[in-house]
Amino acid sequence: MDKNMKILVVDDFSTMRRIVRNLLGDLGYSNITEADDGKSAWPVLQAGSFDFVVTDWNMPGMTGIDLLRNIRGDARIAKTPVLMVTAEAQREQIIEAAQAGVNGYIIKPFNAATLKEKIDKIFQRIAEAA
Amino acid sequence: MSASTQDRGALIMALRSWIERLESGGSVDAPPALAELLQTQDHAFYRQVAELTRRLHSGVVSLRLDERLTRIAGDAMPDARHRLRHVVQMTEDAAHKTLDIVDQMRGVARQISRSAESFEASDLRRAALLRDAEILRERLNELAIAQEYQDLTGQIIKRIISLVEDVESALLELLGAHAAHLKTAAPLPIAEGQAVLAGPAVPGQITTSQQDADALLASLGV
Repeated sequence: MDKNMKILVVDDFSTMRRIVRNLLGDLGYSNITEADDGKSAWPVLQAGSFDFVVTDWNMPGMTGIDLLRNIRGDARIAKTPVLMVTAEAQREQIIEAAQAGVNGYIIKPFNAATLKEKIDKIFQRIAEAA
Repeated sequence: MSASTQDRGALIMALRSWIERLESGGSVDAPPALAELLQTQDHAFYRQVAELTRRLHSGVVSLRLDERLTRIAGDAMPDARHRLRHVVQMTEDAAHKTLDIVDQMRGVARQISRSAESFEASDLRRAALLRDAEILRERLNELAIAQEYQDLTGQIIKRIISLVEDVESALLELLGAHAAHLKTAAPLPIAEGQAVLAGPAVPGQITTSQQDADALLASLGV
């Protein structure tokens, strides 16, 4: 897995962005950009070629699920893998995210091992599909 | 309450007969018919005063209620929201402070690892130091991730802030015309789509664990 891949972390809580950034950093990923909701993430995503998006669901402006749908709806970035890290733990939400094309779903509170496991799984699948 | 035409007529007649009696040098006392009429009028007057008093009283009571509601919607609720936001801010500051220290200590852990490398591979101190540095790194990760409480509690508190805002708007609407005189304007309604989400799990709520979620996602091909 390319440790230099460009990652966008989207969460309205600065604490959570920093935690995810730290954990990713500990896993060896350091090319990380942050956005505080889907609305501010969208132009950033369109401007730069991101390899991976980690997003929260419940955010003001644009939610993570809408961001995911927008990504899947834009041919240029539609294939970007998206990992959702959210406190939303209802069955309906998980199904909704899956139907919207999410690549991984982590329920907060989570731990470093879960984050690593999900990222590994996402890129393993992508490698298999390639 | 005005006296009926009949009462008026009877009163005029009684007064006329009283004047005639006074002019003809009779008793100065009011004739019995007039006395009776005046008493009836008194009763009506008192009834009227009583009715006015009752209306005034209820008017005052409802006015005080309005004042109280106005105070709650105009001052107490914005104050509650302000305090809750302050709590979110304080936990955010505390979490960042902890994360700052975690960052510094990660640097120390890296330094320990580098120092260990300077020992010969056969030196037992090398392995011990590397192990300590690794334990330190793992614990610092745990410490960092424990700070996610700030996001989770913050989300719950923000929901309560939204609820307070909703109640505040409803109160202001209820107060209607009085709302125009309030110091604080009603806040904008909360964004759609947020209320439908369940948010962070709270005790007593049926939620999905990461394992359940994994199984569900696997069944959906994710």
